[in-house]
Amino acid sequence: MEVALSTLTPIPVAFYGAASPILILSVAGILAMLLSVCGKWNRPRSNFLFLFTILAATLGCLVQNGPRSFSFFEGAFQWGSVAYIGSLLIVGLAGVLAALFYPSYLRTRFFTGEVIALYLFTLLGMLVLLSSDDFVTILVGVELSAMGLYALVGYVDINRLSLEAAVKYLVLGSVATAIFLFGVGLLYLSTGSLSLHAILQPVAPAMQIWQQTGMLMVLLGLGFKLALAPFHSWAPDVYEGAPSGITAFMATCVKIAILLLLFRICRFFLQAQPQWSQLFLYLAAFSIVIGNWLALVQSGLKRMLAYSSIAHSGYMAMLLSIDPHGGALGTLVFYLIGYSLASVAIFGVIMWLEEKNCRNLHLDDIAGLSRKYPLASLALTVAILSLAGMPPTVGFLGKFFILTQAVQGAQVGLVILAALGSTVSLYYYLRVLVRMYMHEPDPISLLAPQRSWLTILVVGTSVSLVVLMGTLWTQPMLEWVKGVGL
Amino acid sequence: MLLPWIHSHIASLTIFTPVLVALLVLLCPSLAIAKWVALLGACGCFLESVHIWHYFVPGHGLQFTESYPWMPEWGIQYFVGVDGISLLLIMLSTFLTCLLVVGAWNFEARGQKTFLALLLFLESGMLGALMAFDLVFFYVCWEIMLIPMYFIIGVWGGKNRVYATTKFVLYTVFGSLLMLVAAICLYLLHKKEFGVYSTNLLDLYRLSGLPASAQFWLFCAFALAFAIKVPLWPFHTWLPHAHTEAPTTGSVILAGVLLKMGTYGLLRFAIPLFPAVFIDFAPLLSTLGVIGIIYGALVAWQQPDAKKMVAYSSVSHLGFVVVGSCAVLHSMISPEALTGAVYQMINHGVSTGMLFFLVGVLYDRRHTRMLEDFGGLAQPMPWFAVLLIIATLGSVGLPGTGGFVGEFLILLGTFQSSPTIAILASLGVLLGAVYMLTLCRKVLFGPITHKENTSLPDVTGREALVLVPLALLVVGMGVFPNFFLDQVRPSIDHLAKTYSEYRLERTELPPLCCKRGDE
Repeated sequence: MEVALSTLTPIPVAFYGAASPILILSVAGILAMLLSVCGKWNRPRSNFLFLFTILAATLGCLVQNGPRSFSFFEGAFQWGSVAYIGSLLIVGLAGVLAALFYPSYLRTRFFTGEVIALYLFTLLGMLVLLSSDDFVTILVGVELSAMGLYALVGYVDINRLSLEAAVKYLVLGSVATAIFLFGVGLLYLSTGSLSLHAILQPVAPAMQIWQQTGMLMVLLGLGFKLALAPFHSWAPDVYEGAPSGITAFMATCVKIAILLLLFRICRFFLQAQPQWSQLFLYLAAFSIVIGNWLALVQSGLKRMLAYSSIAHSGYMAMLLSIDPHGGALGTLVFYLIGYSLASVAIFGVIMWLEEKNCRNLHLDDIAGLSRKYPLASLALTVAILSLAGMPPTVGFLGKFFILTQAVQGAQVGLVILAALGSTVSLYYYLRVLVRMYMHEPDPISLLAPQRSWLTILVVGTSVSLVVLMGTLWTQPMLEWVKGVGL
Repeated sequence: MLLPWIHSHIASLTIFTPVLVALLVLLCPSLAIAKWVALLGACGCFLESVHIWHYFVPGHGLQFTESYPWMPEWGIQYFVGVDGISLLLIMLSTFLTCLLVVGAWNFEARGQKTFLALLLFLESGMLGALMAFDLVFFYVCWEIMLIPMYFIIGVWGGKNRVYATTKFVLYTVFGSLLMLVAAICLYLLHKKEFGVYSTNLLDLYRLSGLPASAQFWLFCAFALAFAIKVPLWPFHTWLPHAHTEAPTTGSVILAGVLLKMGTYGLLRFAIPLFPAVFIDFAPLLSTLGVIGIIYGALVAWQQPDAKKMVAYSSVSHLGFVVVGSCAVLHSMISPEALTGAVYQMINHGVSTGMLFFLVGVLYDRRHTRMLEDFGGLAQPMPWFAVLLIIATLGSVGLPGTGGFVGEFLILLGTFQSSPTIAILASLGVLLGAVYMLTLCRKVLFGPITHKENTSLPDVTGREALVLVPLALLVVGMGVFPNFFLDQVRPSIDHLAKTYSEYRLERTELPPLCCKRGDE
């Protein structure tokens, strides 16, 4: 590192353009903190406007950057199609989810300077971890986003469950980070470099064991963050305890960031150690089995969704175990988009229902929902069917593409397991529909929420997209993903 | 200008009219308007299918085709068309839906509007599955059919509806997901053989270099999905529950069309795509079919519940269809048996649909379906008695009804390939007469044991509007079988004779001016 310091060159001007999203987010985060210290800004409306100005600016800069490739500081800042599409999705979804907070009962808690700052820093971390080829920068990104999340889980809504979730997440998340960091250290030990590319270079035979251990630890750390089984045990508690909006944030943005990062890392790892695809095969299989199996017996809505998200991570991890060159990344992104849209719709409805009740929803709480709120039930139905992979939704096509890729990768056993898992999953998804449509409503279970145009807009758009992407807009979507260079 | 356009897009119009009407129905401000919109939509769809029937040219392969790219890079398209194997089923679906909208006119349940919309949505799914000639589009429609049916049983069904509907969906999805995996394998094998991706069924028929082991597993997956849907013994356990718990309309459509999707899929996909394995499996399938025939009949005989009895009779009747489809003789399927199988699908749809409807008529009046609660109904309800007897005779297969033609052809063809199977299957005909006549006797004849039954009103005008066309069809299909079969026989013969290297040609749109039989 001393060598690097002595040869420090001035920062090229082009860097500022390429890194503008990151710079905007970091400056805005600091600004939000300072403004909240001043006190006068601490009103939900002004924070709301501030957040959306920032997110719009970031999106604008992202679009401006496009999927071109930049590389600065020997890969420490590396911009490419993965970073582009990941950042675009993450920032866009973050905006949508923040909009859902505005009508919720957490408005005054969420739209304060410090929470906005945390939110922006979390986003910043995700953008950083996606746009680097250097392990230290990646680690900084992972930690930045994780730190923000620990606080968001426990701080936005202060109650026993969310505090418990935050502590659990903090402890287990830190263990995961430690494992990841240790792995990075071992990689540095064996290759003498912190760059991802260094893995491809041959190492001394004596060092091979350390290199492989390092790679394994890096992967396990990330698997932990992604809640792949058997490292999933934190997910249900955290998903349940966190405020629903933050749960949605974890189910969509965080999942996108970590999965894309994992995919990038895997591309190098599998090139160095092709036999490791077996590892992902087992992780995927475990997640599919455990996620779907345990979701069957859940009575809490968010807990069930947590297990279902573990299963979905499993489906997506199937793509990691096959050759990454045959369009697997495009499939992954397509699936992630479909999954995120469905999740946004589901959590949008959940947040709306929670507004007056301020508590976790159980399956029994939504009994007879269709009689009271037919449109909300319809939205929930379409989104659930998409998660279950039923046509004519995007969930079906995502599943179809993943299974096709996996058959192409000669993983027929895993594909059959996924198909069976998907059948099982239908049972717990149908339980939600059964409650909504086939049970008598319980008059005291839920207080009537107020109508909120923002929620209607967000949920309506995502549900329409879920259906349209599954039918008429499939091709434009696929072309867009392909045009980005995936 | 309009007519040529309609003519060239008739297949898509037929598929999408119901779903668009369903949306209209949902948007209607009042139930009264919604009912008329639904009826008009269903009738419009029926007229469109009549258009197809009228301009269909027998023996010209796949007609009224339309294809639009959906995901060109993946070789997936929207590709629909009509041939002789699906023609009758398409007619049956549109016809039954019209009648069912009338049948559900005074349904008087909560959410009748939604009910009608779901019915129309279901019709779109069925027509899509029947006309699809692209594997992925077929699969989409195949699964879409489940969603409305799930709600129809689950929301408007009987006491045990949730169990029944969940079981129905899970069973079907279990089979269809394995079929999806098999379809994907097939799709990739096509890429391997021809170098391009395609899910077009006409392309997939051309596959020749499938490895034997792959064919074996693929056939198993396809056949399992269809066997569950048929349902073939021993995969039938979902059927009695679904049928019994479903509202009358649901039972009719389930028996009338949805079950046929299984046998249709066998004929359209499993047999021509994997002919070599099919030969090996044909004895097994027909054995299961025969077991189904006899088992279904015996269980039906013992049912105290009229609806359950009709439901088990479906297991028995569809056994005939499977036996007819699997009558392999010297590397071809017996054309008679196959024709009988196709005809029997329609017969079963009509006569069993009618029986379910009649049971519904009873249930509406007495809120019970137990046979012991009835008896002597011929006296207070003479017209009902006449209609029930017509439906029974159609179901039993008395000469002069469609059932006779179908079963006779199946037995004729099967006897040539396997006398044992044919003899055992004809035992099913005998048993069929036993249980159906038992049903008639217990409901219609004997003394009136319950006082409430003395003053039951006869079939109303609205019910007659549904039942009389069905009754006419039962008789008409027996007396004029050639009116129906002439349209479809060339396609069936083609499949029967060349199934081992089945090809289907896409033909030009039949000319609009040219009437049937002019060339």
